[in-house]
Amino acid sequence: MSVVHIADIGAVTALGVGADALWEALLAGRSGLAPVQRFATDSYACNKAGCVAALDAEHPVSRVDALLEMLFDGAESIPPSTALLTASTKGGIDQLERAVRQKETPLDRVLGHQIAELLAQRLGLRGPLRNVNAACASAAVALALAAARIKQGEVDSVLVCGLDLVSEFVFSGFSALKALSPDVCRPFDANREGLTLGEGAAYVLLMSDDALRRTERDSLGHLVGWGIASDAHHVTAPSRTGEGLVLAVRQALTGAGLTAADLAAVSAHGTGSNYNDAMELTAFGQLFDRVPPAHSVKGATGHTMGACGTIETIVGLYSLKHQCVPPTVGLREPEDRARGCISPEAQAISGEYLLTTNSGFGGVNAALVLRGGSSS
Amino acid sequence: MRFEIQGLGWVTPGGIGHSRSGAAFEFASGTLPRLRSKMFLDAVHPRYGRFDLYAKAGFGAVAMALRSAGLEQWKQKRPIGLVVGTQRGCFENDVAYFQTAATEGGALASPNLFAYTLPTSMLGEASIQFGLTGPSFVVDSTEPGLLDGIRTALDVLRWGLCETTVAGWCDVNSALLPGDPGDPCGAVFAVLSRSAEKTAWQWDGSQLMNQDASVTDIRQLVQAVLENGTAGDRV
Repeated sequence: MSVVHIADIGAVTALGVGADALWEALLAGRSGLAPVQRFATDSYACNKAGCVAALDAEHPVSRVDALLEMLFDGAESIPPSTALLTASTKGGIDQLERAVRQKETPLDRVLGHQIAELLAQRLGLRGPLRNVNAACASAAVALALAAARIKQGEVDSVLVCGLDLVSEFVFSGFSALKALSPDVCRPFDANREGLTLGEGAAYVLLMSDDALRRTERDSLGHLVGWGIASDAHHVTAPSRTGEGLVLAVRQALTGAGLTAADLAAVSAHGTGSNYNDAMELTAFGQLFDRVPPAHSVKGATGHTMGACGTIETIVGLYSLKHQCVPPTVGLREPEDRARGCISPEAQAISGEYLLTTNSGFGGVNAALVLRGGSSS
Repeated sequence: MRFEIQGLGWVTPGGIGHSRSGAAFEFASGTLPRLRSKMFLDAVHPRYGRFDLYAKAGFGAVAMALRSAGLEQWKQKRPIGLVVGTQRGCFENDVAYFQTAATEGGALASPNLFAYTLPTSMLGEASIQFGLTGPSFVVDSTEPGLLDGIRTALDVLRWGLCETTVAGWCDVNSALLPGDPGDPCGAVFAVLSRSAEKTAWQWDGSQLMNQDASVTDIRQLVQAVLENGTAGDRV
């Protein structure tokens, strides 16, 4: 059994380019949520999202291409034998929008495997590649699958890259489902009214001990536990009992040889939707005698869908390094069960393990347990 | 890892069947039969009519696979996983949805169609119907043997994330997308379980073996089960 190291990270979100920029903005309580420029929002329930401004101009192929260029520009080279798991729910959905509007367009970024192939080509990777789709838990599920493979000694390194765009396709859909907050989202707030979409991409490079030594990289931290479970409840709403999330977290803790009391902090999914946040608080109430400091990034980045698992893993590493969780941006008045654990201010933490959770349509839940690295 | 195939189900242009139904199996290109929930369930499913063709086929094949494994009925939810490989997923439904959103400034966007714009929605519907709480996700693939979903599910078993999983392939053609019009259309699912006993089936993380012969195509896997039967898994 090999230790699963986190060897490299990178992120592009509405808060900027780079993992440092993401952390600094979160810690400062800044929000990347702003009026959408790239399509008209007059008919929709709100006009705000967490867009990467540089992606507003229409791209001749797909905004995915520009997003990946920003993400990997200047990144340290990745061993060519590295396996690749992309995690995206809708990939280059901007191509499909153009096709439906009868514009001349290629359709070579609209399927998941096309995104994985594009990135493999961009990075010169020759290992196995796949796109994993588990709705908004896609990247967390991909990280779990990648970590299991490294732990079993089957591969030396796996690159997990989550990405999704803010598109009229997704924006109109969430609006039609009445899931969008009329203003910016307020995760875990007593008066929350829905989610706010965001876009971004983030990568996490996982490596075995051997690969880490061979490539002379420092370990930024470890992925020590993972769990995936389904609610079997409703196709677009989470289980009110939180049973799927509880199962996923318990599986992750068991795999890590830990108990809930060992966790110093929680990076919650925290979309700001009434049902999701209530479900998470219910699950946390079952898992913890006393919920440790917890937070959500969605009020700052927006809900980045397929990318949020990798983005929040990166934030988790910084939280362990700095021994604090960032403010939950958008939160004004925590709902009763969130009082004492979720705050609009940064919170100090004490310990070496952090839990990060994501849930998605179809009732899928994923949980990851991170341990800070000596140099993380 | 040794494993058992407890059951198989399919929805293809050649018809609907499972490994104990005696139906012939053919997985090729073509048009799927008109699908209704009563073909797979005792009662009418309240949302089946809203499913896109990908979800209708996948849901039906999962139901058939569970029926053949004797796992269709349940009282308590079960930690059984659901993994599917697909190339195009719900792309056709994506197009249909955005046609409703692309006019009138999006005011007529259909929430019913949007709910099925993720290929995982089919897995969610199946997990609800059959009480399956194990790991559930989609693998996007162009692997010609159509085995990526099954291989990934076998990894999930091998890594101990669950003991039983329903896994397979589901895909429907799209006129908009380039690709081979000869690609198989429909869904095939298998119920897979870890086994402590010596069975005919093995998975080592790279090779899928039956009776020490390599299996590289989902049609080969189905034929092996139909010829030898799921009860004959143990050797």
